[in-house]
Amino acid sequence: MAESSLMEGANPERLDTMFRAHYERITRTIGRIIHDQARAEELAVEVFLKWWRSPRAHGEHAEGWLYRTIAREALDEFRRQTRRNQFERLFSFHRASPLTPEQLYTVSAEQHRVRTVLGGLGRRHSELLLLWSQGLSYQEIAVSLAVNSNYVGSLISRAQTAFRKEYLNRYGNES
Amino acid sequence: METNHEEAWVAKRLATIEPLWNPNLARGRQLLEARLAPRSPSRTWLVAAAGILIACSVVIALPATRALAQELWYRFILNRIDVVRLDLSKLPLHVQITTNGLEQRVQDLDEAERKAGFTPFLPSADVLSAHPTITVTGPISIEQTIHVRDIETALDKGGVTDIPVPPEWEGAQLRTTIGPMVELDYPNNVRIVQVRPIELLIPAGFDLEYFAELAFRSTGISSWEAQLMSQKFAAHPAWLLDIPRDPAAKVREISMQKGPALMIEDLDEQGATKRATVVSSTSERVYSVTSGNPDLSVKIADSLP
Repeated sequence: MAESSLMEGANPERLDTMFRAHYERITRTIGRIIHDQARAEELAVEVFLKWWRSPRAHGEHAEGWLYRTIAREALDEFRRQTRRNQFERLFSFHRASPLTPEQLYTVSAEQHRVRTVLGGLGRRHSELLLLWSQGLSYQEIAVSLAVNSNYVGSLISRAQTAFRKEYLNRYGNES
Repeated sequence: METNHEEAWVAKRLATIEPLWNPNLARGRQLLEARLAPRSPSRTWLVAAAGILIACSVVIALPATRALAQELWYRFILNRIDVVRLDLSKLPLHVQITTNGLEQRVQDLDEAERKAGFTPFLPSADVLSAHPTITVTGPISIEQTIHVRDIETALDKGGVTDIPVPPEWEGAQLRTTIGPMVELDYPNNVRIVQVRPIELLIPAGFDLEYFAELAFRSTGISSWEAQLMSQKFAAHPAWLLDIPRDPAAKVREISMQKGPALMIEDLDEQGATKRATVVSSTSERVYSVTSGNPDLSVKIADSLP
């Protein structure tokens, strides 16, 4: 069935408004985890469509829903990519194209370590750190993750501790 | 003080993953509009066909290697692996890989069987006696979508102008399902991966032989060579493992007690074997056995049923 007919009754202007207002920030949030710009943009579009199809996500909590979903989608995508890479390495059935210089750099760089640690943390900690690092306010984070705004500071602090511990466990204090 | 120090430490690391690019709003809009536009009839047909296939595959038994699943799709069961020393990645297919289900560490073979849907086999104890860690992954679905213009452009770039791409291929999909997969990890980097035969679905009426010829031609090989290879492929479809000619990888066919298999050796700069993988198959299982020693890989692979 065509997407447009599925969405009868939904307001395309609302989608347009949300898209214009949040696309860049949303995509950059994904880009923290998924370094491939094209894939990050595709994922952002998927999330906007998902939001549009979910009437319960509309209204005053729309932005919170978007950021919560985007954090989850980005982390899930990263974990899927990690599994896929492992699979390709294992079975070598689906040979990947040669790595680009950017990919080669990324694999060996700090970015890869940080993403790996984020991908290995508990979901809540990863989401908190992702949104915090993207510059969302405590209030925005509270709405996005459906937590009491009074607790956001201490939750982030715990997530930072968990991140540092996991990072040092994996890589030591090399930098 | 410690908290501030920790916050700064974490912030410094998280700052490294700030993207260096700026989102392309125009492209985002195009993607959004494409998703909102009514789908073309061919895509709708393909989606409907997939639905029928899922329904049919529950009730159709497939004893033969190649069986007609139903009127709209052909289903191939690939329990043979072939290596071509070509770079098939030059053929631009839009590839989407989906992993269904998480990679899960399991406690024992019973749990692996429940999650994978088949009984994993272990090598005989006199070959490997240690207890492996067991992981179940997948299944993994690979969808390759054909865009005629992209393929024509790639062929043009390679100087191939005598082989037209059928326009009706636009949007056609080749679907491959691999898994679920059971991985057994032993000490000393010995790894056994086993999976049921791979399933390939192509739209009914799709000329697989011609597609294979076109794929081979895209790598720059001659017309007659491509025709020979594609005829062989269409007569006995196999999962093609494309390993371009490269001094870092040596591929050869070997004979084992249970039949022929492939030995793929990753070599270091001095030409010594870093990793030796034996890929073998039976009617109901494809195995990949990897270790640091070719003889050990063969011995392990031979001890699997």
